[in-house]
Amino acid sequence: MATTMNTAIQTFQLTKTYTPGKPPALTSLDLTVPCGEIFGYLGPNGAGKTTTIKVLLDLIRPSTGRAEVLGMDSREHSVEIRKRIGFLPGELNLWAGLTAQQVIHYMGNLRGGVDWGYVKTLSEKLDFDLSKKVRSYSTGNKRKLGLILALMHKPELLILDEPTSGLDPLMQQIFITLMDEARREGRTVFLSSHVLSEVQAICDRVAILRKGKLEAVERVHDLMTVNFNWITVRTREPIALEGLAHVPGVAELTQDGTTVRFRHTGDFDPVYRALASAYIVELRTEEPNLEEVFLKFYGSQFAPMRNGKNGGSSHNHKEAAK
Amino acid sequence: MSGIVFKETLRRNWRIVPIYGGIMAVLVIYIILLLSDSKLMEQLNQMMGSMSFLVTMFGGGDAAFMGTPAGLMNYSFFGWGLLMVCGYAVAAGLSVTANEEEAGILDVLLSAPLPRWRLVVEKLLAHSVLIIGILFLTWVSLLMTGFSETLAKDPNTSLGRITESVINMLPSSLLVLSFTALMGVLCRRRNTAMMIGAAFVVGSFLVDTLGRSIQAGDVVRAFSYFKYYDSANVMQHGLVWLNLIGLVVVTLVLSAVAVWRFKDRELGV
Repeated sequence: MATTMNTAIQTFQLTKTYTPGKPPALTSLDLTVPCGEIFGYLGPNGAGKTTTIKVLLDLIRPSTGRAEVLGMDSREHSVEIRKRIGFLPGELNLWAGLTAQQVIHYMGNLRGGVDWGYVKTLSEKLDFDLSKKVRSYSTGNKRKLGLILALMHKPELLILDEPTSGLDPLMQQIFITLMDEARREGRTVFLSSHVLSEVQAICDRVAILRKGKLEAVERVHDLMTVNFNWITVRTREPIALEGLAHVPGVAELTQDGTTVRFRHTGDFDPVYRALASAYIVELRTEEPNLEEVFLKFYGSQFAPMRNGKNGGSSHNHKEAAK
Repeated sequence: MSGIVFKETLRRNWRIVPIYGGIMAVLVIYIILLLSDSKLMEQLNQMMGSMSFLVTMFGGGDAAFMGTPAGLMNYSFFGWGLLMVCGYAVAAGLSVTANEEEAGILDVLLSAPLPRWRLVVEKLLAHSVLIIGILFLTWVSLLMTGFSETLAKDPNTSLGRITESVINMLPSSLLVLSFTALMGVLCRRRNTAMMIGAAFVVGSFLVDTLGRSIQAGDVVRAFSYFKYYDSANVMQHGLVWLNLIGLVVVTLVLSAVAVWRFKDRELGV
């Protein structure tokens, strides 16, 4: 079975075991990423996201199974593939003694066909000073340099491992703009992340990976149509919760003084009637974020992702996305 | 694009050539000053006569030759000089893959359309050119020996012999470069590769030196590249082409194994 030209990435029963006798980092992964899509690859730390990316780039080899990138076998045609992709590793290390400009020139010369005008545009967009030595850059600035290196040759396929980690909220917005630009130009983005709000803001589809196994692949749009909302009601006086608690579809009801917050599914009229006796100062509804949607979709099996090492970061992004 | 890694390696490391060239020049000046002191030379001759055992070990030849200006130059320059160049060759060998792999840079570098074999080959070639540069400046420094009357009188220190002695340093240095590069590819860890590379140089030197002092030493010395370097013999009789070719062949084999292993193995694991 070969990947068609409409498929940017396809894996066939891809399994990777680093140490014999230990659980595999990837187990029989069958993944398909169509061309032109922004595809989120989600999972907690240690789920196998980076392992998948390293196999795609031919940095490591599958134990069994295989992968195709842009219609070519990831091992046999690795050089051809790398001509047409841009890559940002999760942990970006570069030559500390070189300036960003020297790094870009070196990598650009290795790649060939780099539009230096576009490099300038990117550095301006990212507000990045190219003249400093790599060792003097902050984590966020190194990330910007990594993004320039990944994007500078306008690749057909972008493989980005945790692209926004270390970027401030403003730069995250610029990153989203750059991804939109890539989408408009018909390029494919394969983006790994443990931050749900990030993929929610950018991606067309998401795959969930857990302990090396593919748990689910869903369209972000489809997921977001899950029929529930968060309702926040602020009243002039505190209200009794009994009435609301018995309304069908109301769950996770909490009260903080005059503010009541709950999850709601179904028609709104029963809620309206339950609140009829109260003087409502403010009423807000919020769509659930992807994390909450996945929790509803997959229940407890999705829980480890929230409890992962970077759960705090996820929360921050959630706040930023709001 | 071919040659980019080669050019970049030269661009980043060219300074090592004048630095090493300068050190070699200082060593040459020291030898010239040493040889111009006739009293010291006389004492040295006497010492050589009474310490033939050490002369055999370290001088690499007979006491009569060691007492000559050429013998002294061989002992104090070409013996230690090779060790110095090999010190650079170890460092250069590490920079073929081990340094960048340990620093986690290879992921980014090999995301460019650069075949793995080309990375190793271009870096080995660039460092070989730098070693040639160091040896060229060494040769230029050695031209200063023309200013020394004592050396000028010694037939073994003709420009031709000096040139041959400098050329003789090249295969051994390249051997150490390729050996350390291979260790970097196999061990993946910079420090481990560095220790093995340094042990190879020092071990070879000791095996050769100590091997001279025992009767069955020649068997052990066969495993030391210093046996084939044999600077005292080259200084007296000129290049031994068989040794030279042998060292080059081993260098090429080690380089080929390094390329093959690097091409076929996983990175950053």
